[in-house]
Amino acid sequence: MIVKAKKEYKDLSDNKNFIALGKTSTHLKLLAGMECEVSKSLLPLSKELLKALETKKIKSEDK
Amino acid sequence: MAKSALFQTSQQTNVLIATESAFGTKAATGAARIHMPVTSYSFSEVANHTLAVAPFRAGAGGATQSTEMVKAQRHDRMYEITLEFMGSPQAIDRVCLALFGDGDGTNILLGSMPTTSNISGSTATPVTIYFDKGSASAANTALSFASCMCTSFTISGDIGGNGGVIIGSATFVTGFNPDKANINFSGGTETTIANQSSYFNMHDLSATTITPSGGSAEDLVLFSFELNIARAVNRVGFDTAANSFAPLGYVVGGYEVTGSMTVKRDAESDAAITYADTAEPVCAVSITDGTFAIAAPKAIIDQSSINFDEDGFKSVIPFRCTYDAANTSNAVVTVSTS
Repeated sequence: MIVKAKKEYKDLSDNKNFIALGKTSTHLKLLAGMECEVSKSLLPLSKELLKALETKKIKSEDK
Repeated sequence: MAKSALFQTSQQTNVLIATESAFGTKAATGAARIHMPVTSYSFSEVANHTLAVAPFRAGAGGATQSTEMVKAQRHDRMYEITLEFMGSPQAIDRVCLALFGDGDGTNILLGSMPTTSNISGSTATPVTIYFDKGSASAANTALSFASCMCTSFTISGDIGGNGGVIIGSATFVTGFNPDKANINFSGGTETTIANQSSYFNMHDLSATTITPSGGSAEDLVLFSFELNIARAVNRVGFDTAANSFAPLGYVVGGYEVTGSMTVKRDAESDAAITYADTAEPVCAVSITDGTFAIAAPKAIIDQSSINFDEDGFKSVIPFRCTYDAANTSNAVVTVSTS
């Protein structure tokens, strides 16, 4: 799953964002406006976190 | 008191890293924790303070030192804990998480890290280092170092030593006094030694390359390597409550990432340390077995040398890892374990 941060993402506290999942690099990239692939080991994401993310399908998922 | 018949040995002591939920408070009984596959360790003694001594008074009569003139200096005390451990994926991930906040197995250190330099209260994510049966005060009592910050992590391997097992060495510091009470962990996520059934090994490495900017990937025969990620951690302030002199927080510095490889000296190693692109004299360093992988996309070679060994000359290639200046979100180094 590829994600991009919505405006709401930066309002999430550190115990609800990607820092809480042990993935600070993804957190920083999202804050920098970049798209990030979320590794399967971090799934499923919480509803609150998902709400703050724009999800994009990988091409192979489109098929 | 009579002489004690109790004694401490490394054989009876398990070492755990446990996740804390409150700064300055040791991990709870149900905390997520990992039993580290340590081969050796050390920690500061409980009273590791220095003494502050006032100058001598001039003149005759009572010029020597009284209790008013010598104090145990506890306001700047920092305890240091060093763990040497075998490179299991879980142990490497946990130390990367403690050091730079990435511990999902891809473990990427970015140019924009650390996210926070002032560590206190809710901004803190330190760990408790727990030595099960580590206290000398009584049988079966433990020693906890609360709110430890990882200050250095070295990962190394040598095809001719330690059975080829990749070895980690992590150093933690804390300003909080050690606690001698048992935590009695139960519940929560626990990664035991039995859960860590595989260890990365030099004998399994499939490719080691250096790709100079503007050149091609040079295949190297790797004898040994070392990668060190370090940052400064300083304690801030002190609280004299209950004579604990606990710190009010920590301040951390930027990451310094350096490494070294010892490889067979040949045409490939020669090309690896020859900058093809003089405009950007950097190289990409890669060591991998297909799962375990160290990748430094923008390393700069630092004073290479030759070992004139009987089993063939070897190139020693030290390097410093940087991120591509175009964007702070670029990686300095990746230590993948999955």
